[in-house]
Amino acid sequence: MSAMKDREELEALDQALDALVGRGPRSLEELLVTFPNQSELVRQVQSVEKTYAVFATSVLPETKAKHVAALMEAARNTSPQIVVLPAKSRLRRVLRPIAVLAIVASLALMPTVALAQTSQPGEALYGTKLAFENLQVLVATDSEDDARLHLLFASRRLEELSVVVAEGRSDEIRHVMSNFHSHAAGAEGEIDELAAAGEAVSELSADLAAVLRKHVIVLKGLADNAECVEGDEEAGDSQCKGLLHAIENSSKVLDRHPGLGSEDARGKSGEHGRPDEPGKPTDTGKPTGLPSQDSTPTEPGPPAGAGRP
Amino acid sequence: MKADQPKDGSSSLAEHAIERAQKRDPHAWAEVYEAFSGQLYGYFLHQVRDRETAEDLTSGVFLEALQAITRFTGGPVELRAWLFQIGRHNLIDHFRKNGRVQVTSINEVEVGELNRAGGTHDPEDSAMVNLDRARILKAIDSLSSDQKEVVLLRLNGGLTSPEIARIVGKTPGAVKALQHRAFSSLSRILSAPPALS
Repeated sequence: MSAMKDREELEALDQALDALVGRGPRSLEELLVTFPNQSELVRQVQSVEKTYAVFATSVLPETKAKHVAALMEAARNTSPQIVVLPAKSRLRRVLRPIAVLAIVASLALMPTVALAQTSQPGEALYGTKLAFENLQVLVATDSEDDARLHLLFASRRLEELSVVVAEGRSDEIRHVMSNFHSHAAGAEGEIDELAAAGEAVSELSADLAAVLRKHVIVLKGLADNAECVEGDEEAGDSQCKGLLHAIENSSKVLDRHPGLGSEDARGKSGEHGRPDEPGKPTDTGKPTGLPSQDSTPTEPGPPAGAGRP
Repeated sequence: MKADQPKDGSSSLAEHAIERAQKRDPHAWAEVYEAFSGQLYGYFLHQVRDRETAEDLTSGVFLEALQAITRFTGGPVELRAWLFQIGRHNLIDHFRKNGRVQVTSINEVEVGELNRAGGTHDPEDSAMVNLDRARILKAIDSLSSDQKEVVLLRLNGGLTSPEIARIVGKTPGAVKALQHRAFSSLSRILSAPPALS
């Protein structure tokens, strides 16, 4: 009851503030009717309206004139074709020759590497497989390639996880999960970087969401088998704590990357991922779209193009 | 009060102004600056407490946006959130290089700035208004940096909770909780009788 009251209070304040800044569907007067139990709160916001002007200010006219002149001049001098490369890309251009050398060195080990690709957790060549994956991430030329590779490797870990879980190999489960987390975090970092650079990330974000949802399903299966009680992390054993913590972490990332199906990703970006298409590697070994699980995101995803240039 | 209408320039910015801005039309950029510079400047001024720095940060946002505008998709409302996202990154860089402002008192420049923008020029009213504004600014300074940021993005930027959530990398629920705590603190501080000095 108290939680419900708290939620209503949060919602009433949020809608009242939306009304205050002119962004809500209802006026403050209408909110008094909508939230009769929160009338005091709404009236408080109403009283803030009088002092709201304290937040309004503007650049001095002479400064404004200077800024506008500089901006217009910059616009005239900026060709639409000029694209400022993100710092990372410039850095990578420098690092690329070094990375190419690393690839050449790895070619010497090619038969072993090829053999390692089919190895499974616990097998002798599994470490080589992971090392080669890390090398592929290292030589990726930009954040998008990086993100796709991380997602591809994370989905491989999920497949391996199903096998080791079925066989009850607890040491390998930990190892595989740890590597999964590393790739999922890597993918999220690259996606955030792309978003901050103003790139459209809705498709990558959806792929990440699909991988995470699958991961949560596997974790929940494990938690059920271990008879872990959700919301009772303190009382459970260390395995349960670890599992519930991992579920919570993945859910948090999912909150930030709810994937396609959200309003922003569907409508505003003009970009549509392919949620129904299974992920398949391209000629370059990169996934084009990972399997999308059923999802009902509750919050919209980040706006396409929103981010720091 | 009229709802549905943002109290800012985004409502006056025509959709095609963004298309023209993407083609680097100088006049479109002047319109974009006119529409959003006040909100950004107010946000920066409250954060850095220095007029020149706030002006530089404001100008920087538009110059940076000019370079990246071709990658932007959306309308005026999304554009505002995008500009604030750029602004917040620049502000974080600024704080990283120069350190955060430790506010010990409300300086005259700030109140003067706010009076100029708020249109209070009547000397008879100004003493009381200054007192109110100084109290509000002081109350905002007493908030945690997270709460202060949410309040300023909410009231200076006119942004909604989901928009702020995307900008600051939190969930909308977390933003709502932060703003609730912030407004409870503000309400408590502002309802207390002013201290005699």
